[in-house]
Amino acid sequence: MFSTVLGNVFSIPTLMAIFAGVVMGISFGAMPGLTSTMGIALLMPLTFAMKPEIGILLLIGIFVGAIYGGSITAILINTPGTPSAAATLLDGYPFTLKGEAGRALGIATVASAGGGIISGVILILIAPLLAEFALRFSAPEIFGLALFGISIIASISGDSLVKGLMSGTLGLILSLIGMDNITGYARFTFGSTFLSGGLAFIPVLVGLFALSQCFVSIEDIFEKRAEINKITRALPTKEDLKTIWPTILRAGVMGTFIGSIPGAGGDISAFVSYDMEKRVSKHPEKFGTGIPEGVAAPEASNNGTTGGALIPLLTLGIPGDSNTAVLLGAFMVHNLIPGPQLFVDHAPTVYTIFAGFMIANIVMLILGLSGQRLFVKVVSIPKQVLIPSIIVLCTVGSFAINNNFKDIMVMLVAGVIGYFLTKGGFPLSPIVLALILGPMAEGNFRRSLVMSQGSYAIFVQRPMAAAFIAVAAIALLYPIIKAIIVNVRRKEAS
Amino acid sequence: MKISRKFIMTLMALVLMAALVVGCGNGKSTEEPEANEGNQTEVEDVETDDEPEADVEVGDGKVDYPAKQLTITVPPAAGGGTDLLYRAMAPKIQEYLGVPVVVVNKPGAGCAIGFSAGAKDPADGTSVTAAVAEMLSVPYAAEVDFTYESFDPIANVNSCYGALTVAADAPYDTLEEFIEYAKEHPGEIRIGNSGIGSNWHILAASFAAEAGIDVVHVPFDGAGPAGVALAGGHVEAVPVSPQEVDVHVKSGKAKILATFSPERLPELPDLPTGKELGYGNTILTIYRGFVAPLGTPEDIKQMLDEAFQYALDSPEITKFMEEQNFAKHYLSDDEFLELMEREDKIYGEQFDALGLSK
Repeated sequence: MFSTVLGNVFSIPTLMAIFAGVVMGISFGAMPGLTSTMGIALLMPLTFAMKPEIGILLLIGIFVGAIYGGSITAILINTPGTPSAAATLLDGYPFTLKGEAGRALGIATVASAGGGIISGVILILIAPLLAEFALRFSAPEIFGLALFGISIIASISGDSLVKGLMSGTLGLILSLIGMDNITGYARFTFGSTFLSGGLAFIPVLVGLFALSQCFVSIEDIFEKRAEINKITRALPTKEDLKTIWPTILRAGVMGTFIGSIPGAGGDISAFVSYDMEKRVSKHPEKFGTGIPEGVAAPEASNNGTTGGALIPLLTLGIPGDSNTAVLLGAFMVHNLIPGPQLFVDHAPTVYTIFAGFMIANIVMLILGLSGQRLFVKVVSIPKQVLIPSIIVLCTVGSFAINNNFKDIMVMLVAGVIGYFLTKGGFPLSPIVLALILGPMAEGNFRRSLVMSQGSYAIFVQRPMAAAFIAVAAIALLYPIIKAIIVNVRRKEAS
Repeated sequence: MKISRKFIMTLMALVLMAALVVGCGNGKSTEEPEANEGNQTEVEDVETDDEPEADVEVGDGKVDYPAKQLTITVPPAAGGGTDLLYRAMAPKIQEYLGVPVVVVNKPGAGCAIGFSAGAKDPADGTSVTAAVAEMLSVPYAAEVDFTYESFDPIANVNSCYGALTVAADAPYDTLEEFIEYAKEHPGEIRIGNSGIGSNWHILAASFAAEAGIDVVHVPFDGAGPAGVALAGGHVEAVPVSPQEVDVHVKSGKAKILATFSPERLPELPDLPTGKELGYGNTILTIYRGFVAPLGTPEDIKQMLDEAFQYALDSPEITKFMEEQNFAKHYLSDDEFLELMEREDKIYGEQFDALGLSK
């Protein structure tokens, strides 16, 4: 079988499919508004006529490439290309401001490939074990995870915690719009059918980051502020690699773990890993100013979720996120029914997919490192040309999500709000974090209570849920406790 | 001075963009089909690559179809099971009608956006809407401007039914034992469903009412996550279709007790139906068919019906549906309307009973 697998993987069509998938994935990911899920869904019909392993590896290539591609725009133009890259811009864009865009891209590429490969190793070695563990995750546990995620707002708020919390609250309020998913009650919809499903996430994300950034840049043009088009460094240094490898390891494992939980994906894992790195770091105050760990953590983590999401898909037939949900369809088309039986009936195909997944990550590394000289040129494009192009992309992307014109309105309104918030010094990342996690926390909190018939004991009795909630509480209260300790010490000293 | 000029410039850019959008918004009827066309060329290319035989010359059809193009509005999102079926059928419909057939997804708000848009399409044969069972539930759940009566039914092509699936190690092996257990443990059985007011929620509520048992309905974001919760032991039962729990049954984590279908399912001949066991009212059809905007001329509907039958009977679609587990279920316009009328009553009753009606 070993030789069959090798023969399958290293055949020209397979390698070409992986290569094409990664290239398309990177382009999809880098364009604001076009997501990995959309790329996979769009290309899926093309794979029906291919051999199963080739078709599926093409789609996996897109998945892997798109999650990485989102970081390119996050670093270069302060706009996450995919929701998963929303945490990358925290430290990625400051690099660009310093004229070191190439260095940040290099770190992101190495970290993405590293995270992906770590998740691949975990996928191959302990997939069935981790899948059984992930099955024990239900509403109370996911609520705990989401609550912990929301507590991260404190660490991504930048200069002002109060402004960060205000942004976070705005995000939570926006996430309330739409049909309440436990009682079916319409909230803040004002009788509009469009709003009854809630705000579509991508248009809000694109508007908040990309469009508001365009408005800010328009000001730069008229003020004739110094253009940042000098690029001093193109590749990460040896020291950079030395600093980030423990980060990649931690974030990759964390990403794989979170990715394997059905219902949690790259967006939350990137924020969690960023926060974790900040906590273990010896110099947490430098996060947000453009340091290698700040780029490596979210990137290794969100690519870690790619392998992680494949774990429940392949072993249990359960998609871990929206990308793998579409992939599940592709498996079914080829009569490969994911689940334990897949490993028995189609072992060579499964191992070919494993090997192809690893190769996809290596292809991504090569493409990313060789392509970044090209990518950084984006920064040198005159703003007068770049900004209209970005606005066109934002508009097309927002429309393409649901083929709905009203989503463009949402994007525009979000852009205007984002512009004024930026002017007022409010960080935008907490809004995105709250938009992702608000519905997740609320829905699962109330689902838990339905499951326990109103008893709050469910959050204490289930050990994993209790642990997450405890960690969230400590994370929230830690600054207060720290302040008290410092105060006491100061008094003792004086 | 400088600041104010900068501010004015920025403001002007904002106003310009707003004007652009509003302008486009007003010209929506002319703008949108264009945009759709642009969007679709890509998808169509993909499809013709996939099935070269579907690559027919426009005007080469078997009938003289009056409209220049047929747009199928699909309310569920691209890439899902429903979307796949309509996308697979589109080239064959095109072959019959001889005009381009494009599939446009209008997802969001639990299919409400797609149906709302579909009902407003021109009734001249240029548009049909993919009819799925959410068409019946959504009008009860939310403030929307359509019901199933806002459309002219044309044909149904596929139907699936729910089944009662429980954990493999549960102490009950038949539907009767399950009901008995539920009666002994009132309020302890948790039935996971695919969302509040969803088809499977209504099916579960309708079953509980007919069996006279007191259960807790736990809504999840779709049938998939509900099945996962069953496999993980977080709920006791799910009412979703056998296909949706197939992996859990095959992996030995779940067992199906009975199906809620009018007759035994051909793929599961050993499973009794709820009807055989005396619960004949607990049937909801998760149908997939075609409806046209109200007032579409009879002759056009006739041609469309023939085109859908032609596609449904073609060897390609037959093979596709078999492989993808879509059971063929053709219903003519009158039969389809009858089905929707019957089931609309069930939705109405259960939404009232659950206190979910808007």
